Amino acid sequence: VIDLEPALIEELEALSPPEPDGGDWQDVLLRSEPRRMPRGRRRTLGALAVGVLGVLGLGTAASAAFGWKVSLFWAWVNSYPPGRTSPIVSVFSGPDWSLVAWMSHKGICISYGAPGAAGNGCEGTHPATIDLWGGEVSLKQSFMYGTVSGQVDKLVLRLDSGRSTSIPLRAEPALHTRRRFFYSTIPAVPARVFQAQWAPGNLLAYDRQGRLLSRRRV
Amino acid sequence: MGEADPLLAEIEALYRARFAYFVRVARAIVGDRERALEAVQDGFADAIRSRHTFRRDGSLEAWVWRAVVNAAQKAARRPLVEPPFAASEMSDVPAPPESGPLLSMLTERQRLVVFLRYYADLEYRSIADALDIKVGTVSATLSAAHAAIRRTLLGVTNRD
Repeated sequence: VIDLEPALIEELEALSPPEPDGGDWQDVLLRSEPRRMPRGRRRTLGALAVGVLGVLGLGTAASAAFGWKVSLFWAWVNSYPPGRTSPIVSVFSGPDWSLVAWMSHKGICISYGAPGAAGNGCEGTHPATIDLWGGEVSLKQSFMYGTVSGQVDKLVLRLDSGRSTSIPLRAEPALHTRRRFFYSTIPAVPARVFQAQWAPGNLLAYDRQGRLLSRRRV
Repeated sequence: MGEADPLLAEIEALYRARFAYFVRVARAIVGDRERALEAVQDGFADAIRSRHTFRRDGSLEAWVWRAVVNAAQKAARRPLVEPPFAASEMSDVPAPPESGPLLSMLTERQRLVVFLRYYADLEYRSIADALDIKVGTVSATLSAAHAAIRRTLLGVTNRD
């Protein structure tokens, strides 16, 4: 007679070890709310809406002209960019730039637009604790943006000079993700240092108990 | 949600009391902790949104389990895609654990029943409600799972 329990339990423990209590009930409540567009984002999304309406008009006209099924066109519009499963939200914006994000089958996707700089892509459904999406380090401007996992309570940029800056984290409930976004400028760079492939310091992610979860060189 | 909502309060109490159990089952289904946490949050959010459909002809916990298991299965079906940026940073993410020789012998339903029985310690009735199957099917599925595991163990023993 073979006792199944020990072997099975050992395998189950390895597959999914015991979890600590906790959770984030407020996050659950946020996710359960009907999706509404925050008032503060209307201006940025206004420009996006104008573009979409233009595409709609052209598409509808094309549909009528070529006899395509309008429903198919609408289905395409509603899922554009391909694989999109959430509304497109404006996460950060400035006078002449914006960073919009949406959820897709490839995880969180972003599009960053600014004069002379742009970026887009999806981070995948298995992103790192600190996922640095992009940024720029130059004498003119230095900044970075990305996401952190839901376990991260505090994100700190610790410069090699010894200076530390806490970076605000922004949740986007409409995207139905626990990951949070960050955008941060980096203090002015001395020309002498920048010429030597300047890397200003480290991004440090801490949980609620102050434990270091991840470190990333930037 | 300013007015008193007893069902919402019950769901919150369940979340606070059994969060760790939900994450464990979700993790076993999706394969990694981050997506498991997402699935639990989404599952509870789904349960809150559709709580008016709960009929109280079964336990609330089993009903919420169904929502979480559905969310986890949905997450598990999404393909893992490498991020376009910061590829080197992937090193701090542990690789998802794979099933061992015993669990890999089981069908998807057998695995789900085993997860709910062993991780969540649910009774047959609750497992049946959570997976929308009959109690007898739970019993039969567990028996079949045990038989498959026993065969695997015997095979290992005989080879030794």
